[in-house]
Amino acid sequence: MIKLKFDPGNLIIIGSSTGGPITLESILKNMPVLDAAIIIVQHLPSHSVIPFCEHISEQTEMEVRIVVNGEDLKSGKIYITPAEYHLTIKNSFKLLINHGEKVNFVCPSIDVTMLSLEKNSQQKKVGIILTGMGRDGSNGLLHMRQIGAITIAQNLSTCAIKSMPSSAISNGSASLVLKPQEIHEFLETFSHKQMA
Amino acid sequence: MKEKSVLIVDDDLHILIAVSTILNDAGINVLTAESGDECLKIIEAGFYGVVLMDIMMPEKDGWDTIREIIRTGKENGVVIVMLTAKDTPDEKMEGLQEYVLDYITKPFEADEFVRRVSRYLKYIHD
Repeated sequence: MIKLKFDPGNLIIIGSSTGGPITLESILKNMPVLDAAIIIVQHLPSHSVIPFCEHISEQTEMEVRIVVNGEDLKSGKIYITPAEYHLTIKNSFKLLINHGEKVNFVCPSIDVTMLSLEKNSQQKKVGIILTGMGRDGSNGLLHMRQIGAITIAQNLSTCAIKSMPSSAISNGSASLVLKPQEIHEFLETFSHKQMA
Repeated sequence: MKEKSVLIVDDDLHILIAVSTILNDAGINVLTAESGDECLKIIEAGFYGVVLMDIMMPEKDGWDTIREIIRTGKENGVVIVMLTAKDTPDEKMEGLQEYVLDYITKPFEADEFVRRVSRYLKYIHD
C-alpha cells in the first residue's frame, strides 16, 4: 500500500506590533514568490486588517490572505492572522483560529502561534520578531529556536519601539539580529536554498 | 461627505503649526486639537482619518485619550499614530498595542513622515 505523506513546506512566522506595517513594507517590497509560507501575526484593530492586507499585497507577488479556520498552509502564500483571534498551527500545516483571552495584553498573540509549533524535521522554519511594545513573541521565539528554527530579531536601531525584539534578544531566543533590508535578503536566500 | 483628514493632537502650539504646515504642503487636510478632550470632541463630531497623538499633555495624556476613544467605541474610523518626543513609550501603553499602528518620534524627517501618514490614510476607507 502506498502511504501518502503531506509535505508541510517551509514556514516563516513574523510577529509584529506598533511600527510593523511600515517595517513589513520594507521587508516584503519586491519579494518574489518564496518556496515557503509566511504567517504574519500583526497586532491590529479589526477595522485595519483588510487595509493592512492590501498594504502587504502591494509589496509582493505572493498571494496575501486572511487566515480561514481549518485551512492548510500552502507554500508561496502569506497568511495574515485576523484581529481578536489567536492562531495555532496543528501538525505543522493546519491553521486553527480561536477567540481567546488576551495573552501578553494582545489577541492575536505571537507567543500563542509560535508556541503551538511542533518539531518537524521535514519543515524548515524561520521565526522573526519585529518592532513593538511589550514582550509578546520572546517565549515563542525561544521555543522556535529550541525546535531547530532560525530565529531573528529586528535590529533595535531600526525599530519604532524596541521592547519586543529587545526582549527576544535578552532571553537568548534570537540567533540573528538584522535590519529590515537584511531580513528581506535573508528570506530570499533561505527560500532559494530550499528550492536548490 | 466629509473628507478623511489628519487630526494632530498636541498641547504645543508650535508643533501644531509646524506639523500642519508640512501636511498641508503635501495636500493633506488637517485638523488640530490642543488637548485630549478637544480630540475626543472632534472624533465625537464625526472625524475619520489618522490621529497623530502626543503622549505628554496636561490633564488627559495621549494614552488616556486613546483609552477613551476605545471605551466609547469611536476607534473604527480612525488610525492612531503616536507623534511624540519620548524615545521609548512608558508602561501605560500596555494594552493599547493593537490600536497604535506606528510610533514616530520628534524631530522627524519630513518626506518620510508625509509618506507614512499618506500610507495610513489609505487604511481609512471612504
